[in-house]
Amino acid sequence: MKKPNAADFRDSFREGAPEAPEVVDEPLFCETCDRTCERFADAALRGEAVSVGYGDRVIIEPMDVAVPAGEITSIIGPNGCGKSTLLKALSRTMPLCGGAVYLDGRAIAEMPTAEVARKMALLPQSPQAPAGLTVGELVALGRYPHQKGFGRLTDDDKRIIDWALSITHLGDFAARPIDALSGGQRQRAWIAMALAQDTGLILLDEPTTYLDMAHQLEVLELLQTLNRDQGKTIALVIHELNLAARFSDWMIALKAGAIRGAGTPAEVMTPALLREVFGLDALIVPDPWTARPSLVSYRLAGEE
Amino acid sequence: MNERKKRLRTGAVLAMLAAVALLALWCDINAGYRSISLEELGQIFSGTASQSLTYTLVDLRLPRVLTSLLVGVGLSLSGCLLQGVSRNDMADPGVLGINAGAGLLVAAFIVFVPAGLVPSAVALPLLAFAGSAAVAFLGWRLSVVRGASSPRRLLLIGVALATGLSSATSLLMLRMSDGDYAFVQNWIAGSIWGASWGNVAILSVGLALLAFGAFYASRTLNVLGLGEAAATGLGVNVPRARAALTAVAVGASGLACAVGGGLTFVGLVCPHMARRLVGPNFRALVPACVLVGAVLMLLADIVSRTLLAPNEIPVGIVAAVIGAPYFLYLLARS
Repeated sequence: MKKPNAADFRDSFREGAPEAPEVVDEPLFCETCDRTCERFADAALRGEAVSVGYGDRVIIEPMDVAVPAGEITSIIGPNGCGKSTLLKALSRTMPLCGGAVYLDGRAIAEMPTAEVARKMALLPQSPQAPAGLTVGELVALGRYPHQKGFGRLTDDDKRIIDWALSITHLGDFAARPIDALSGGQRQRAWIAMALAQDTGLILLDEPTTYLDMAHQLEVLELLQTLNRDQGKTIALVIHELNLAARFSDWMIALKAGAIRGAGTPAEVMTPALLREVFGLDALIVPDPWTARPSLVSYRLAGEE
Repeated sequence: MNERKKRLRTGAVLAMLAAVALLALWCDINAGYRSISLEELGQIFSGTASQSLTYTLVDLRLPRVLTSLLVGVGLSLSGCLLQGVSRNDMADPGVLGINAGAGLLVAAFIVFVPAGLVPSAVALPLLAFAGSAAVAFLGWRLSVVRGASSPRRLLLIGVALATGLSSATSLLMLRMSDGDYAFVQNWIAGSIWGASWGNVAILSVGLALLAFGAFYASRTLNVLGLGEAAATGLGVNVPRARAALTAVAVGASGLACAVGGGLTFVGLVCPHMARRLVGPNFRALVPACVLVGAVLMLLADIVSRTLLAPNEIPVGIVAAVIGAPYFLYLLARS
């Protein structure tokens, strides 16, 4: 597997740049966040000039985007800004109009879908399980891309399924039907399925939507544990800005199908950017517990 | 352990279903003007039975009974796959319009081909199968928009095709003699009329292969049940898997339709009954559907042949009369 070197990468972020000389150690310049950054050198997932749309309708303008390896990335933005679409485009569940997506440096379009599934797990928005399917059965389906033939579970499969159940605190619920669980438990069951897939990268589309505050925290703390203890790279679409700022290493802000800002929470959670992206006048102070930027109050930005 | 208990329970349910199927088979063999005892069955196998007894069982009764069983298996399997692929509980082979396609060709054969030109026992099953396959393919082609088909579109187009083709069939039937009209009407209602050892052989080999394919694909069916995005995320090539499984479903119902006519209700209710018994996991659901389909059609066949003996009620009507109340009961409970 070829890792992209710095020069490859810089080219991809500089549209129409002249032939770059073969320099490997030069710092990277990333137009999406308008600066040089090293963390993209080995991005787990990278989109180059990715665009999505139907006919004349553009949902995602051609954009370069990267999910840094080993970090938690949040994609934020107002309703209809294309953030879920971006996640779908990156996870090959929505066809691209243009551009390409690279997983560990290899073009996803050229990889067998089962091989992609062994490296990248996806949790869609509000997923639905068939009535009566048990938690254990759902989590076992996470082994799908690793199985062959009739798909009898091997000891290895069983070990990973048990681990996924226990880390999501669902060990006692394995025989319970999914539809009998609470919203938070159900979300954890789906995360357990994604974990059973045993991938380095997990994408989640609005995993906290429809959950109360405590259950939202529960989900994000689980993701944080997975990131810190298991080294999983995580990217999620999320509406709750304070949770995004608190748990992410990297944030990408979208508006009208284009990236308006990308950076650390401190760089993205600024009054100027929130005004531009959400049209809000925001009062942001450091959270006294976590020192992360926190939105204390906000109002609709007036005309200026 | 809970998981193990569940698996044992599923195994027990399947074993019981198989026992019920065997019992129904035995009852169906015995249903009719002359009943056959176990002793006589032994005589038939050892070749010491009277010629008339051998004729009744081997040449008349058994092909008919086995054909019913196989028709039930085909329809139930087809419904099981279609409901799984489309994630729609209302899907059944009839909704794809394939019975209507078969019916149209059968009616056209009777109207346009002079009697006696081609033996109908050979032509009709072939035409019925060709009609179902052609309509399924047409529906699938029409459902492809921007290079992708969606199960929802496929079902809607199937409903439209079924309506159109049925109207065309009705038009043809207006030109028929009373005898032909009654035959086609019977065919559409669903009657086992293609009972012969040759058809039994074709159906059993074909359905065995298709059922094996469905069972082999059960883990893919399970993943498809999580929805398109989740299935893709788990590494299923969703369009290809859907096309392949729909083709298996069309093959199974086409075979059933070729000798059983326009039976559809069996394909709708059997998967629901099976799901009630073993749950949504296709590993157990596919075998359960095969068995439930066999049981329902055998029961329907018994009633169809005995209730107004020596006259026969179209078995499709009986299957609907047995299945509908149970279906309503299931829906009321869930």
